Amino acid sequence: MIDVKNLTKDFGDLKVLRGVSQHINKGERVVLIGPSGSGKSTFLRCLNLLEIPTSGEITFEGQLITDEKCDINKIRQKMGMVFQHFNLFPNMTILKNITIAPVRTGLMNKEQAEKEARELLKRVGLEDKADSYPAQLSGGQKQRIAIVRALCMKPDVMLFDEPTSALDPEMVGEVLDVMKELAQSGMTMVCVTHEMGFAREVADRVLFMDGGVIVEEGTPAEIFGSPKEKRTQDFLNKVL
Amino acid sequence: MKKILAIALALCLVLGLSAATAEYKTVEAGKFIYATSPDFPPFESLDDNDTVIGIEPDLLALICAELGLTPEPYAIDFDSALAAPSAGKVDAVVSGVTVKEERKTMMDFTIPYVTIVQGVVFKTGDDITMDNIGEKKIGVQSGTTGQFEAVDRYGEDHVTAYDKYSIGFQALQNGQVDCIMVDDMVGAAYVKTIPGLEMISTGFEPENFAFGLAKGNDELLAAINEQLQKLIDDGTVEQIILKWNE
Amino acid sequence: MEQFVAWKAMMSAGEPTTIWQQFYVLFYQAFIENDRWRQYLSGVGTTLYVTVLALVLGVVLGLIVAVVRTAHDLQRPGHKNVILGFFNGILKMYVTVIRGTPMMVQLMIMGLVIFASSRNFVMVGALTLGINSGAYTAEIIRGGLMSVDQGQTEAGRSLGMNYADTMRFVVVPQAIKAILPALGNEFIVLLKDTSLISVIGGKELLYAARSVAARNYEPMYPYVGAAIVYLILVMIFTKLLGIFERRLRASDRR
Repeated sequence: MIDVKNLTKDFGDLKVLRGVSQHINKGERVVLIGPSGSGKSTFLRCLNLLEIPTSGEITFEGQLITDEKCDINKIRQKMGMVFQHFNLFPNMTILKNITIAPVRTGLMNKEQAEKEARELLKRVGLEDKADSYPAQLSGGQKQRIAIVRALCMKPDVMLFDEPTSALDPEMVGEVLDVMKELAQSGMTMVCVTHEMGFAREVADRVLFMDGGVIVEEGTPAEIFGSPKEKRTQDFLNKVL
Repeated sequence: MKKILAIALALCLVLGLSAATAEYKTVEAGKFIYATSPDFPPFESLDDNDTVIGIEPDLLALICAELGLTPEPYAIDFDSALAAPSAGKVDAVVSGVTVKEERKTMMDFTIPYVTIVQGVVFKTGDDITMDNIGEKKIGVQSGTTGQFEAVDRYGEDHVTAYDKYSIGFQALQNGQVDCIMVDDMVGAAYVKTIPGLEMISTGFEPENFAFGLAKGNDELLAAINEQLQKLIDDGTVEQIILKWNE
Repeated sequence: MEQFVAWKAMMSAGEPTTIWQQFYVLFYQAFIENDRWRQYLSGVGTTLYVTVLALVLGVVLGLIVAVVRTAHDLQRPGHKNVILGFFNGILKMYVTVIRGTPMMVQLMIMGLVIFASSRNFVMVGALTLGINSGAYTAEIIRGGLMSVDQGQTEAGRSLGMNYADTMRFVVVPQAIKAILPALGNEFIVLLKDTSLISVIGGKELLYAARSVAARNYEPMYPYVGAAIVYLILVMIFTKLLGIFERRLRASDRR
């Protein structure tokens, strides 16, 4: 579904990605772990071109998206993204937050979008917040809304960029529950996280990144149970 | 005899001195500061060194020399110049001021020294006569008798007032106004400098020019009147006017 | 009226008058005699007309400049669009020239050189003020757009919305809230700057006050009167802005 070849990304003199190749299959749940500054967020943001790769190729559903001529807006409609800081639109109600994109991109009309939005809100237990503004919600609620907002575009893949890192500890659970439920529904997911429990429980495959490359990958059991690389062992010793 | 001579000499000296430095009450001692709008040739204009020159500065130079004062111009827009003496900023307004009854509440006029009539300046070839001027756009300077005459006769909509004649005449050349109503002697000076202009007389009532002194300075007024009369009587005023109208 | 004539005659003759009589005479001749209030009224009309025209023009120009310049600055490195770069250069020059020259000089050039053949002084004045205001508004708006968290744009774009929609629905509404105080300030400056158009013959409020002052040889009442009108206009404007701002802040309540 997503095919990445030799991806590099420089920020000025800083080489953040030094050649990453990876294939993500449909329905697969991939979790990226690694120390901060390892390039995992940059890798994720390259997948929907929020960061423009310095070199390398990314193919999504058979389309070369790193190609200049590719209509990236169409691609992004198929790739939902959830951010660390939620990035809800503070000037809109929750319902508007969720429906603006499907309506403006012509995916649905207003009625369809609102119906869809309310159903999704119900699924995450926030149907009563439809007419609230983001400022009236807790962090956990905001992140659940952000997930709903991305889901309303009916994406083929969901990208999560440290979705629980900015949350108070007591709110992490409610967001992870939504993500787990999403995983069970068969959604393709790529998730950057520090929640090792979540990775162990949900991931089909865990990628350990450090220094701009994927150092080691494998099933959760392999990575958490018997890491081969020294850097992986050191990292896991620190966080577990 | 010697003694008498000495006394007479001393007396002469004292009198002579007192004549030269007679203490006139002015805003700044020893100076005669006058407000003027130096875009009003030949009465007053600026030369390249920013010095105010013209008929009135020449006249003032002669008069002030007799009174032991140094004339000093204060250049400002005309309407503000008129208000300057009563504001106590200057000793007089000397800027081609027409003697008008209403203005007497603001200033004490000297005797008039020249008479002018309103003229109308326009681009050569334009069809402008005193019969059709009421349908035209008339440019004037803010606060001048020309403005009042034009507004009273032809209505506010036909009149545009500018801060300075220099801007007004530029507007005339641009065609933004059809003509400029201005004192004939001044109009003639502009016609002479700017090619392609001509002037007709309005035939309105003639106006007298005088200096406007700050109210209540009777000694200075009397002294200036005396000197001015002398200059009128011996033909100096006429000479100066002729010189600047050449 | 009779009282005015009588008291005015007393004042001209230098007879002793009370402060009230002096006030009455000066006020009457400044505002009421010969229906002079009509001059002020039409002057205020012109002032407001010029302000509104210039304001609309300034905001439209400012928005265009700000959006183009922001779009240019946020391009992918190494993927600079040539056409965008060209317009960005022109608009940058516009902002530099307008902000680098005095309003009065711009009015003179517009009134006496560029629009030398126009007799619609009010329109030329409004155009000049609008173009002037646009340059300042552009920088205010640009600052506002820059102040909106980058994450907002990212969120909008990651949902597949194009640049224009993201700006229109997400960034601009938030930027407006941030720039409103500065923009209000600019509008107030604009309203007061309309008084400058009298130099090219625009008959606004100050022109009226000046004419009356010249007629009466009495500057205080007409000018103070004009000042009070300007003050009232600015106060009304500030009030309206406050109401607008409060309504925009509706989404902030908790």
